[in-house]
Parts: sequence; C-alpha cells; structure tokens
Amino acid sequence: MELPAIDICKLEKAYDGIIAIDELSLSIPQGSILGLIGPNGAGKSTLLQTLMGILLPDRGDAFILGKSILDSGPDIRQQVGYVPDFPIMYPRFKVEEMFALAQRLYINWDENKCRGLCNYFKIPASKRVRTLSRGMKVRTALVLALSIRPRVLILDEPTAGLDPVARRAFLKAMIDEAAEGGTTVLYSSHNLNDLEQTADHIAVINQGKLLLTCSIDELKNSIHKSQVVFAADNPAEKVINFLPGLIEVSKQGKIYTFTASGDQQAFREALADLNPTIIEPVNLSLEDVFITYMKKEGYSYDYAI
Amino acid sequence: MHLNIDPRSSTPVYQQIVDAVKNAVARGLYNPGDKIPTVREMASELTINPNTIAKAYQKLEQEGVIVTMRSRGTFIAERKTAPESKEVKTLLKPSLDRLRVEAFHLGIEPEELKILLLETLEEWEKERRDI
Amino acid sequence: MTTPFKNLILPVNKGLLWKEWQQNRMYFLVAFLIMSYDPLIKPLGYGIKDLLGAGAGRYTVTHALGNISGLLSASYHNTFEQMGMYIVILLGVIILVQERSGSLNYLVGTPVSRTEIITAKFLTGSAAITGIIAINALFMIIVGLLLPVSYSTGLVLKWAVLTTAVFLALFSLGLLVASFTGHLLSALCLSMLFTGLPSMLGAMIINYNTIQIFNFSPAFILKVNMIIHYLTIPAYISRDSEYMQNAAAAVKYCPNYPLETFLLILLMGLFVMLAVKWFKNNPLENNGQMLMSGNATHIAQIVLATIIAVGNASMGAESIGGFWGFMVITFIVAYLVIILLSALVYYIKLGR
Repeated sequence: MELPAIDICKLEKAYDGIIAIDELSLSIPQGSILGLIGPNGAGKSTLLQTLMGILLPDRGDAFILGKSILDSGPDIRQQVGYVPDFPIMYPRFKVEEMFALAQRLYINWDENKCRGLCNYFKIPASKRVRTLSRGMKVRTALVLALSIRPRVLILDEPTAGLDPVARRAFLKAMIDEAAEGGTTVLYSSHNLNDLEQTADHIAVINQGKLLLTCSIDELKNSIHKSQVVFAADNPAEKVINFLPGLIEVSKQGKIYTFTASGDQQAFREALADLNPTIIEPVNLSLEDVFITYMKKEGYSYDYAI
Repeated sequence: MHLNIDPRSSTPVYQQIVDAVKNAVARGLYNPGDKIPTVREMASELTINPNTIAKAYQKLEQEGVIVTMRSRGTFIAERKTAPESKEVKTLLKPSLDRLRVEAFHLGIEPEELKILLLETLEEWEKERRDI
Repeated sequence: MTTPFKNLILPVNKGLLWKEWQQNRMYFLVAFLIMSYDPLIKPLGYGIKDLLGAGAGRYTVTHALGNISGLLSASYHNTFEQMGMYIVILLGVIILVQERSGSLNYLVGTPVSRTEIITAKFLTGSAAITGIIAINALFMIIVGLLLPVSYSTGLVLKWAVLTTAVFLALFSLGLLVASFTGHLLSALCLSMLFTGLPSMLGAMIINYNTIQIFNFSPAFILKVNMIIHYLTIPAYISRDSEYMQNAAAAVKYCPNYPLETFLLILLMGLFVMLAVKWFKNNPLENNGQMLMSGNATHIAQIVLATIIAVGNASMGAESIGGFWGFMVITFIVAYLVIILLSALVYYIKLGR
C-alpha cells in the first residue's frame, strides 16, 4: 500500500487548560482531497497549525509523506503548501517581495507558475500586503502555497469571506492542482457545498476528537430520510421508536418525516410492518447529513421562543 | 461539454456524470469518434473532485461508452451491436418495470403508455436529425 | 537553502538573511544616523562648511573633533555611546518582537527551523552594528591621518573592538529578553532592568551599609563595587577606555582589556544560545507570551517602578524613615509615569 500523504498518530495538544486535540488519529491517502469539518472551536485550526509545525504537540506524532513532523526538521515543509485562515504574512512587504522571499526559501519555486497564478487571481504585485483586503490576502497566500509545487496542500477555511466569484476561482485553482500534480489536499471548511463537490473524503471533528472519517458517498448513504403517511391509524410512539437506526422523527399533519442511519433496506422492511400508504425518500445534502449527525452527537441549536 | 450535476442529490456525483454522458450520447449530442475533455479539464470546468471524474470515466469505459487511447485522448466509442435479446431483457427489465409502476400511479393506462413511448422516441429521432 | 555549515554551531539560511536585511534596513539606517551624529556627521558637516568657506561660527571642526576624542575617552556626552547603548538594546528587541504581530506564523510554516530564524536575526543585527562602528572608526582614522588630532589610530581600533563587544552583548541581551516576553514594552523594561540592575542593587547595599542597616567592612564594599562594575555591561566602555588612555590611572578594578573584551564576546554568545533555546521552545499560542498567567506588561510596569523606587531611595536616603519615604513616593510617581507612557504607546499603536 502506498505511503499515506498525511498520517496523524494519537496527536494530543492542550493549552489554556482546554484540550484542543484529543488523541486524534487520521490517515489521508495520497492524491485525495479531504474536507475537515466540525463546529467552531472543534480544533480544526489547531490541528492544521500543529501539522505545519506552528504549534508543537504535547504527545503523539504525525507523518507527512512518511516523515515525522517532530524529528525530520524543517525540510519536510518544502513539499507542503499552507494557507492559514487569516493570512498576515509580512504586512510591510510588497507582494512581490513576499514572492522573492518564498523563492529564496523553497527549492521548488516555480516563477512562471507564480506569475500565471497572479494574473489569474488578479493580484497587484506592487502593493504592500497590509493594504490588501482579506480576500486578496487569502488569494496571495494561495499563490505562495501553489508556486512551490507542493505535494501536500493544507488550507484553513480558505473560502470563508470570499465573494462567490473569487470562491469559484479559488476552488478551480485547487482542483487544477490536485488534478495536474496529484497533490493531496486537506482543507477545513464550513462550506459543505464546496466540500460536496470538491472533496472525496471528509473527517468530522468535535472537541478535539475525530468523530468519523469516510468518503462522501458513504456518508450520504449512511443517513437517509423519508416522508411517510400511514393508513388510518397512526402507529404508537413506542413502536416508532423501535425502528432500526432512527435518529429523529417529526410530524406535520399526517406526514411523518423519519431520519435514520444504517441500512435503508432494513428500515423499509421494519416500516412496512406498520402499514404505510406512501413512502417517499428525501434528498439529503451533505449539509443535512452533517447537521443530523452532529445532532446525534449532541451539538445542535434548538430554536424556540 | 456541459453537464448538469447536482452535488446535493442523493445520487453519487460519479453516477450522475455517467448518466449524463450516456444521455448526451443517446440523444446524439455526441457521436462516436468525438473527443471529450480530459479528466483534468472536466474537473476544472465543473469544479469537481478529479478522482470523482476519474471514477466516472472508468465506469463509462467499462460500459463501453467511451474509449481512452493513450497520448491521444478520450473519445466516444463506437456504438455497440445489440446483444442477445435475452440479455437485453435482463438489462432493461428493471428500468421498464419502474416505468410501468410510475405510470400506474399516475393513472396512465397501458395503451396510453404505448402511445407516449412512441411519441418520445419520435422526438428523439427528430432531435438527432436536426443536429 | 540551508547552508550546511555543519561545523558552525548555528545554522545559516541565506534567504532569511536577505529577509532580515529587507525588513530592518530602515531601522539600521536610523540607528546609524543617530549614533554617528556626534563622531561622524557633525565633524563631516563642519568640515564641508569649512571647505566651502562658510566660516566658523560657534562650532568649528576642532570643536567637532573634540567630540571624537571625548568619545574615545569614555565621556558619555555623545550620541554614540549615550544613545547607542539604548538603541542597540532596542534593535535587539524590535528585530524579534516585530514578528509577533503575525508574520512569525508565516515564517514558522516555511521550511526553516526556529533556530535558523533567530540566528539570522542575530547575524544581521550584529553585522549592522559592527558595520556602524566600523564606519565610524574608519572615519576617525582617516581624519586622524589628515588632520592633527589628539588620538592615535591604535586607540581608535581598541575603542572599536571594545565598543563592538559591549554593543553586541547588549544587542543579544535585547534579543534574549524579546525571545521570552514577545511584547515590546515588557522586553524593553526587562532589558533596561538587566542592564541597570547590578548597579541599583549595589547602590542599595552600599547605602544600607551607610545608614547602618548592614555593617560591612570597607574591603567588602570595595569588592561589591568591583562586582557591580563587572556586571554592568555599559560600564565596560567607560572603565576600559580610561584604562586605554592611561593604564596607571585606571588600575582600581584590575581591568584587563583584551580579556574583558573576550569575556564580553562570551557573554554575548551565552545570551544568543539562551535566546535560541527559549525561542525554539516558545509556544506560539497567545502570541508566544511566556508569562501566561497574568499580563506581562503589567508585571513589567510594577517591577520597573519598584526598581526605580529602590534605586532612587538607595541613593538619596540618609535614614531609615527617609529611605522608606523616598521609596513610597518614588514608586507612586514612577508607576504613574510608566502607566501614562504605556497608554501613550498603546494609543499610538492603535492609531496605526
């Protein structure tokens, strides 16, 4: 089996008395695009910063392309591009000076690629970094990350706060990089629509713990939703609660909406025993699935006045 | 090549691509020998994970819809000769059954269904001729 | 692009050196201009004035040249040493602290180690400081060859070496303190503290002795004085300069000019090693502030006010009552002044 691009082994990190990363293990195969999702404060940024060596872990280790982030020294970052959630870089430097610096630090710097990407993202090379808007800074950071010809790309909420046009341009550039170079991409995002399209795997994190990791198709198959109407008598609540894998049930008039995990077939069969007249499957987006899943884990906002 | 992909649908994206390509070929929008975009080009245009595109292309190639010639690109394959009629029945039966059930629930009589089917086929032929 | 200088204790990264120069060249220029005002710019200016026949006014070339002699004889009334000491500490602090506003997060994510980062800062700053001293020394020597002056080339060279040693030690002190406080004001306060602490403590001991809290023998007091002078880095300039001018006269504390220069270099090395060690292990959460329990600024303010109070009281008081009176009043005044200055700095920073 091929070496995983990123292999996180029982990583632990705590500060300010809070456990930010709780014995987390995750393996990301080369060439895949993995979306990291979780509520705010779940530890996503901390995890990404620890992988990059910005924060030092308390225990455990992580391996990027087989090399340990603790033992291998700074050279493993020659292959890793990183875009933080709020890029600051060197505020007093001009954009072109940032590129000049990166050129001196990275062996694989590609000047042509840099210029091409600058044109594509319309980045003003002679302006100082501190005068750029946040969206422009994110795009500059992405150009910096892509021009080093990375084998691994780590992005922290890259599309947050970008206008739709810029967001699309960003995703295209990211996809292009993955398609052309077989670059492995790990990115955290709240935008599940982006993830649905661009990622092939996701990992869900909450309170520093990895809740689950699977392919997007698997996740979508793991939770299903149906709208059901029963013949004359509605089944007793007790009976309903015994439906296999049931997570949530709501009722509006005569229509029941069931959300359940696990085997859809088994659920249908159990449901058939209760004499439904209509069963209609409901399309679940990744966002729906995620919200339902988090509800199961106890994280939800219940709106009530 | 513009394909209508809905990432939010319950149908996996790669399956949607497979279906969309097959649909386009069946309607004559693409003919055998036409070159289709590479995995990379497709991924970039649709902003979809290249692995997903690759999976779709793999399936399409398996089903004989497209063919890849190394260093020349990917093309629409020659139309298959019709398989044994017994095979056809097994392959097509599930779709036909679904159609029958759907029609029943919509209150369409079998005779009406036959007419509808013929009309649809004629429309398709007309589209092909006009292209 | 790490130069594999395996024999060197500290790794060198050419890219980082370039960056440090790009980032800080303005600071170095300003430092050069301020420090060189008395020994270089003024004489040069008057020399040009003379050449152009603009005539003598209140200030002449001779007058300006007197500055240089004064510099070499360790008079503190010149911009070079008086301001240079603080400028150099400030450089050490700023060169590191300016990264804390976020650029350090970028740098640490690149393929450079933390050791390389701080090494580059040390090397660039040291080179700049050495350069400033060298330019001034060169100027003094050239002037000495062209005009009649009261100093010898040898003296200039000795001065240059000694001053470089002292300034580099102070620079690395600034670097060291910045590596564990990460905050400009607290770094400055602590640096001043470490520079002035020995003399304040010594003054305290001596004064307590005078007002009979302690009762030490004169020999002990002499020893204390000696130790203070050895511990106060800036004092090296004055003391050793006296020695350089007149060996016999400055024999009180048994100075040994070459040895002491060497010791200063060692001290600088110690500071740098510690700075590297602290910086490597410094967590970057909370912007790397080591004093995480409590506000570093606040602590620094109180400590500084206390030290000022103690120092002032030690020097002025003649009785116990007087001592404590002085202490309290000085503390209150000093503390208020410090708070005001901090607020001013804060608002200036906000305005940017």
